[in-house]
Amino acid sequence: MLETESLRKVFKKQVAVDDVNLYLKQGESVGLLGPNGAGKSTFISMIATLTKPSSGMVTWNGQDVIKNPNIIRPTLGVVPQEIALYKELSAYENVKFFGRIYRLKGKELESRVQEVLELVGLKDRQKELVKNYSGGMQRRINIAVALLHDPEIIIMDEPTVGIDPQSRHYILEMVKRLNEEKAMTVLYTSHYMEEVERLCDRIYIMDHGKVIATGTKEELTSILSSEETIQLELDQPSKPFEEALKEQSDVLKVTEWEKGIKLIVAKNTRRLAGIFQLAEHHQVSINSVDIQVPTLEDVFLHLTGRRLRD
Amino acid sequence: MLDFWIKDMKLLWRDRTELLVIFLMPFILMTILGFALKGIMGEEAQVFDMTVALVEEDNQEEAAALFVEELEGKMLPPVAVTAMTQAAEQLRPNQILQQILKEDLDFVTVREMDASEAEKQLAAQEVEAVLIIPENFTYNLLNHILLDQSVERSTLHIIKGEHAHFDGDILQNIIEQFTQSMNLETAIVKATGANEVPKVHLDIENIAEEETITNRDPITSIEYYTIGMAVMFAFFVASTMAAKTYTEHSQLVLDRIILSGKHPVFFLLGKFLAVILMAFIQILILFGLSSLIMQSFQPFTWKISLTVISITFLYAIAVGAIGSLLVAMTIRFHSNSVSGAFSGGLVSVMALLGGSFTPITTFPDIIQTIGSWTPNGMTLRAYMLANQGMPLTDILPYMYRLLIIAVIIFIVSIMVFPARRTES
Repeated sequence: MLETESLRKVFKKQVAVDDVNLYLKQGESVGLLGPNGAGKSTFISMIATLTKPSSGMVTWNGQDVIKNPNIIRPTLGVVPQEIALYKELSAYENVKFFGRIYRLKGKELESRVQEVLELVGLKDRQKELVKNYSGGMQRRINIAVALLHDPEIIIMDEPTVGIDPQSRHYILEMVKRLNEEKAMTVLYTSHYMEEVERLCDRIYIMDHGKVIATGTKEELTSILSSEETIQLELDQPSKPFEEALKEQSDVLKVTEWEKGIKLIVAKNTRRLAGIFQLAEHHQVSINSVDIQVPTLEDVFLHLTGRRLRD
Repeated sequence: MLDFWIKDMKLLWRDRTELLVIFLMPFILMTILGFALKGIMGEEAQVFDMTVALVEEDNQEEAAALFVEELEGKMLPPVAVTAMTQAAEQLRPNQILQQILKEDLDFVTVREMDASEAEKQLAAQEVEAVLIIPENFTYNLLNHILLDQSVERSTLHIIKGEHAHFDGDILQNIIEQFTQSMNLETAIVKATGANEVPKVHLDIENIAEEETITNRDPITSIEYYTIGMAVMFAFFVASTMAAKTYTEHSQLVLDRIILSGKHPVFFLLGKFLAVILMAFIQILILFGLSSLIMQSFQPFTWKISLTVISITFLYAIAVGAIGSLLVAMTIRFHSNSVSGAFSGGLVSVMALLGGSFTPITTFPDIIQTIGSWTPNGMTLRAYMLANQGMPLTDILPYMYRLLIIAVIIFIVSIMVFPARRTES
């Protein structure tokens, strides 16, 4: 089991990671959800032994990883947020180079190279230079390199940032397969809650360097079990209408979304009639109403007052 | 390490823009400077000349008188005494030697002085060598030649200037020939029983032949700037490698290497070797193009070519060490300003001091001294000496110095290189 205890990192006077406790059991898929700048990458860098913590512990099966990084390194596959590849080399040359530095040789090397290229769906285009690949293809090779030495744990830092939906779907399916079919332990960080919801058994929500909530998706959304989200699509924004809604006693939170307003209200309060009356009073047309089951996004909003992608 | 090396070579090779700068720019600049500054090199024929300090501790007249005086005390037939007395008055080995040096060899200038003055002038590089004719030289030689007595032999002593090994070698050759000829002629005289004065002949042509190896055409401006640009542009291989390292570092490729458990120093060694190979190829291509297209460095000789290749190899090692230091500093300080400052500023300063733009003999002494200690400066001098056909003994001091500097820089680069983590 990989475990962190009160892990902390301070850059000059800026606390990037603040006393984070996390554990990762074998075969689990754990998500680390948080907005940009929450401290996820720094946290990952510390457990990957690439950044020295300011304080706290990281242990792997009870052994101190900070003192002896080499006990965990061979078992880790790390997929950084950046494309950590040589773009002037082909996909094949990249994978082969990293295979060699992982001490793979001869037929074993060649077979592993072809295996991971097939896994990421780029076996047919392996001879092309990485710089000529699309962003999504580059990210897939980025993952392939991390899988070369058949690691026990794969740590993925926002592996789908800035790519097309097709590549994103491919990557998510691949991670799911690795976890389910190969029992690979996954630590997946993202600021896309739908990815974490889809892939992970347990989720840590991080903000400003701290873990603000943890549990399964169901446990986390149960934080909002007494509440529901009403999403209104309006023909035009209206501040007076928004202010009027905030003054309603059973409306807990009002936020804007791109087409209108979102309300978190106490469950079963039957507020719809009141909402329509207020809209009429403020001469606002409601185009649609959507009553939603709470999502992790709602949980994050509830806990921090901000959206994940703010 | 081989994997890192191959990877770095591929990366350099596929960067067409950098390749153009590394390979084409020095050739273009060499051509422009070579033609534009054609007059600067003084391409008229140079005459080989050497100045020798002669320290004479021997007194020929006193030695001859002492020899004749001692003859009378020996139990010799009067005829023999008379013949030997005549021979002693005619035989002046010291005088013969001085005549050869002063009159027969027109490229030697002899200045007589005492030992301390000779030492000073040698140190000040005002003379190329010192020849000391020791006390009792004539007396001992007369005894040896005429009486065949095994008295203590006096040896002519040569001190060669550090700055002029080749000149010293020629003087030594002259003295050896003089001694051999004197011994041979003495043996012939004795064998024939003739009480004649041995005649010393020096193989002047042979000496002159040795002297003519320096009489290759003086270096042309194209040759000078081929060398100047070669030593300067090799530095850009080092800075290019450091710039590429910054990209690798910022893209966290180095982190992958750390995670693989491979010691990161292999990463550095790969860069070191790649810079060596690339700089070596770059310089040889430049020399080759200059030689083929500009007809420079003629006539071709294998001896000179091998010396040039050896110098190039050593210089490539030095450039590799500099590249290694730049790479280490780039990673240590997480900044590409190291390679930027080097290629944008330091290379030009070193090139100027080392003589890549104009011969440093036009600079003040202090600048010349600093320039002679820059890796490019000492390499430029070594190339010039090699091109003039100077013997390896004259070039080796520069090569040793270059190697020492390369080793020091490489050790520093390993100390600067952060070996464990990328962040702390």
